[in-house]
Amino acid sequence: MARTNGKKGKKGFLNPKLPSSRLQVAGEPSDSTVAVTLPSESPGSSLEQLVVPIEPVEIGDPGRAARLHVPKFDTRFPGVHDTVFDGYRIYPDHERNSPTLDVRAASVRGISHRHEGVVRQDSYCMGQSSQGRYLVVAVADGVSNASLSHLAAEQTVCSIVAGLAERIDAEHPDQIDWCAEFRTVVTQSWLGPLRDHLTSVVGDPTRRLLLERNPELPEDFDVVQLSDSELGAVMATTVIVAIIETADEDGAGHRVWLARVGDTSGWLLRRFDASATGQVAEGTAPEPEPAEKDDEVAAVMSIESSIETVIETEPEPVPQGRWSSLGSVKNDGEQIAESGTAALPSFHDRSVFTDLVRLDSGHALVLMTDGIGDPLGGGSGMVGDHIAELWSDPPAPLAFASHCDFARKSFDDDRTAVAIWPIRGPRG
Amino acid sequence: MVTLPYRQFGGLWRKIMAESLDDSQKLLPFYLLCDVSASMFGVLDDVNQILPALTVALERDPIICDKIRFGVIDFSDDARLVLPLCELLDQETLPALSCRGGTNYGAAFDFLRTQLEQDVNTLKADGYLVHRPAVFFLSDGSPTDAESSWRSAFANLTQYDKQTDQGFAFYPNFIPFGLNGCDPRLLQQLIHPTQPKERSMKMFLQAENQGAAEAVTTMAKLLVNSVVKSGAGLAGAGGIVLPEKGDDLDVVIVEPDDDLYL
Repeated sequence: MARTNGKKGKKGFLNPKLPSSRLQVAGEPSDSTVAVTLPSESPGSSLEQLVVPIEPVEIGDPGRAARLHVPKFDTRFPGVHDTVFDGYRIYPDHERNSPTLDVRAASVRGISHRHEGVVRQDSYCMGQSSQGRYLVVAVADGVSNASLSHLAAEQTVCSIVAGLAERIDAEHPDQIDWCAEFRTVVTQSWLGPLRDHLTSVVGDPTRRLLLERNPELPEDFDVVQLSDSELGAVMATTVIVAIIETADEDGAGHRVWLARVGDTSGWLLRRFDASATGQVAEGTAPEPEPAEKDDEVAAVMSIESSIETVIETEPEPVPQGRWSSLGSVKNDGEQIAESGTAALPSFHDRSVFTDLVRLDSGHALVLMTDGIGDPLGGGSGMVGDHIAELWSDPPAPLAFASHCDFARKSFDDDRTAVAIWPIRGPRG
Repeated sequence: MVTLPYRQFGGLWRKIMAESLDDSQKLLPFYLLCDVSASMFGVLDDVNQILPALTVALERDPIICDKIRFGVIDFSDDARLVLPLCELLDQETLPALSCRGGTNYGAAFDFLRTQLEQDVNTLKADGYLVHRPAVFFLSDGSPTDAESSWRSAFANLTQYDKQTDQGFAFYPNFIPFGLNGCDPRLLQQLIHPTQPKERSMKMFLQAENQGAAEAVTTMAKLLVNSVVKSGAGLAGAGGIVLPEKGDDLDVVIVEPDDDLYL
């Protein structure tokens, strides 16, 4: 197990000294955080650079649950995967000459749902507008005490991304009425799957539950007769949507429009500066003085000025403030922790949070469910440090999924993250 | 990148953690507040089976045991801390309750408030994200102290105004369990909170034609179940999970606004 609570170098999270029987999968050979050379006794030398051992990540005390839980599948919903992940490179135009953004996304079931055999209730979806100008990303977290919330989450992200990707080139993101958008999603995309579920699944308790909640409903009610609060008892989800300009036209950063309901959160992650690795950046080191009179003195001066330059370009000693929350942080300033949240379908207009930010190449935009948001807190602790380090640059997609699946005592909720990095120019 | 040597910061580090909530672990504290007045003599053996039963349930459920802590306080003329809030699976021995004199509710509520304040503050300082504690209050009698005394102690334990931060911010979810001999109407007034409806607690009473020992066993099952389900709920909407009317349990379930004709 890769423990990450000690003092370790940047590559220390994923230990390359693994027995060859470990899970081995293909990944991006160019990514140094996961591409490792296999132990010499391993067969298949042609695979050497392609095989990526993925090890569980632990942050601090992993807890008993990480070791003892037994993952089971949810027999009710065989079509929903335990883990899904993606990695894409985004081009702003159809010519596809110069990519501008890297995207990684993963949704992994929490160990609580794994152990209980309950379906993953988080979901994400992304799409690019038809002319390529915008990337649309949505992340949702189905509320666990409504039994069909995984449907709510999935329908919400797919429907909202498809709808916006189709319209957004013609309609400016500033013009979106987010409250209306979220209400439309519920009426247009939830009722069909719910109706299908109620009519097709024999012995499903959902219909009985709804009838018990509202005795005035006829025995053979249709889903259109349900009020928001009745619907919310069986399907509910938080959601965050980001619309990202695929081109940074004025060089001030990609504009990002955000909207959210509930505790699924958006963050700007300050990346480690590629140029600030203790090396003298190209062009900034002063040329040595021409040794005209006293070679020795000139040499000493040159060394001194180089040392100064090296010190100046070292990274900042403590990664303070690497994470900036877009909107408030859950439980911040509360005397006692609460786990309730605003969610679709019964949300008040006031609980829709919107924001407009710029995403420059020094940052990544990260959308996440509270499965990661809760252990992250305000981002200044161990979890924040380690994820900041792992995600300073886009990791291999499979590695990204395994990072989301980190073990930490008492945090066992479903985890979903979508991260977007502007591609840095040749100078970093 | 400089990695902070977390362990070396000691108290300062804990303080930083507590203030920022970063790196805290989720925790749901439960307490059993148990009447050990003389009349409880016949059922304490059964009450003493609650902790072993809970330990067995936690051993079987690795998901829950990471997130809950359990403590036991008993009371008669005074209240005592029998088992400080702990991880049950770390305990080598479990304490047993034994009888003492009267039934002083005021002493029980005062002691509980002090203990809650101390425990929650300690846990928060240790970097835990503490969820609202739940208290199972088991009694078979009426209070022997003055009504004004226990009522003011209970108000002190449960009243809190979030807007003004007046009162007790760590007020518990209070769940009375009544055995024959208790005053159900009085116990019903101890259910807390009662609003809003989705967060309202309930009370549980010994069923008719049921022996006290049997009732305690049923309540122990209910308690264990509630601890396990509430712990699981921390991953989602949260809250304390209690059985619903209609669940197959040999116990009388009372909501705060039920009319009692007993």
